Amino acid sequence: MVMILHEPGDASASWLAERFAALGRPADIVTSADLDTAILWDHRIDGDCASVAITLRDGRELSSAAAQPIVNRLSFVPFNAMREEAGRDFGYAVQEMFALYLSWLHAWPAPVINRPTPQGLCGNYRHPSVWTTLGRRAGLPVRPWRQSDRDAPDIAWQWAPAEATAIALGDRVLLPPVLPQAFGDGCVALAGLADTALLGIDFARDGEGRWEMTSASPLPNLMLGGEPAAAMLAAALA
Amino acid sequence: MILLCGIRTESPLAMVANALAERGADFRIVHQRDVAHYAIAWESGRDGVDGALRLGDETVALRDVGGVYLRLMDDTKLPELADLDPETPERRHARGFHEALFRWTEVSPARVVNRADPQGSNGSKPYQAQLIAAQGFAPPPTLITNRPADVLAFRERHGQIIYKSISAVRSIVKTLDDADLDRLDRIAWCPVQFQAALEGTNIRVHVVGDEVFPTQIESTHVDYRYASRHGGKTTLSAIALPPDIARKCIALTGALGLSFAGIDLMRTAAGEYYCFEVNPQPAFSYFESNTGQPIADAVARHLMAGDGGVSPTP
Repeated sequence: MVMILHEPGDASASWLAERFAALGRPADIVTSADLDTAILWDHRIDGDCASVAITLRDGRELSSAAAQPIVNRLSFVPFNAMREEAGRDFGYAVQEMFALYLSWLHAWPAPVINRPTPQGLCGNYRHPSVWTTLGRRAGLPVRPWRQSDRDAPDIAWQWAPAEATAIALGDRVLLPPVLPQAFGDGCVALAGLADTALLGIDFARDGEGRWEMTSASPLPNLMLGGEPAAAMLAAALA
Repeated sequence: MILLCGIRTESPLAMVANALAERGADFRIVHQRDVAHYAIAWESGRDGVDGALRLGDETVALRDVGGVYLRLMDDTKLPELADLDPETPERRHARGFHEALFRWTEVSPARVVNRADPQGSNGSKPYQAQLIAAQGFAPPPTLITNRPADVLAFRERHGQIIYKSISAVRSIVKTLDDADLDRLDRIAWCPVQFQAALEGTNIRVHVVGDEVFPTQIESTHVDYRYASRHGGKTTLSAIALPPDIARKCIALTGALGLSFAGIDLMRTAAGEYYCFEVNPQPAFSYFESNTGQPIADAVARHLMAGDGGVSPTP
């Protein structure tokens, strides 16, 4: 059975669970709130072997000894329970838990889409300038990224325009009909360069109506891909 | 051209600057304390990455930069700025400059020692341990748990054990002693990392490209970095590594996406080598000053080899 890890309120995750059920692949749902209140953690590394056992408050166990494939949509470590306990050590405790999540998700012996990175638990949340640079290397037309000392540092993280989103998974891609089909190879190449199995790639039109890539995300809105996205994921995790 | 970014007098940066000067390299120091006189603007677009960096009266074309050594400190703590309100023009300019400079180093085709992304593995020791193990080095047996009974069983199995942070925060190694056992139940709310305490000789290996500089460390304390703080003593001496261990160190550095690293090894009495961690931004000056190993010169040569060439972009 596939396990879907996600944040509470993640509409894509709920939708995916429904679609998996419709495909005859019911999923086990584990939210970050479930992990937040886990009662037992056991993560071991010995030589080149790593193991994980997490016991949730409701009695379920996530164990590498009986590892299920995972759709990983955790964006950050849950910390509500920890906030109550940690006091002035809260910031330190969050760093510790992020380091632990990064390690156990990396160690999980079954397929995980996406694997964690130090820059994001469900994949690398890259700066827009990096996506632009990788997009160009992948052969996609890109919206130029410009930055100077006169820009506010946080302007980079503002919403990038997305009139259409392609979803790449491994060597497959779902392109909305409005996008040139020739973008398909570039999207697959971008996911490869980014070392990110599942990638949403945003496009918008410039002033002259030409499509260009504006950003990408390891946590795409899967509903944009419809039934084919769910089927693609189910096949990848089979 | 090569850029050295940081504080002009900081030991590692100053030593690399001296090495570059002795080799007649074309380099500039982006001295953070002069940020008021600096400006930067760049673009990543269909034709690649380019822009301009103004350092006082001089303007550098970023396409001419072939190597970058990063030793940047937190700009909000610069003495000239620390007491100013974050919204003052001086602080906003400094923040904007550092952010733009940093972002450029992440996409520039120059040889950057080291980019930020590959440094991330050091933020999770067990994650990095798995990457280390994949390159053929054994990490110490490790347990992360929030159940005291499992810690006691782990200690029973391995004898003496140590504990340290899972992340890079508060990274101090301590032996688990009887006094710690009295408060072991406090791990229940946040898992803690424990490791078998290995007996042997600490070795720090600095890797620069395909060169290795191994240093043997003899210390009176478990964590040699803090020995002097607690009245102890540490002695450093240059040594040679078996060729296969040296090759593994070079391979490990490359596998982590780094070109300069400080690798912490332990050699046991049986001649086995364990790897504790890889530091992606080693302050090597302490080791060079005590052993005479020419690490700064190797960094300088590494940067010069990139200058005019093209290194992989992220």
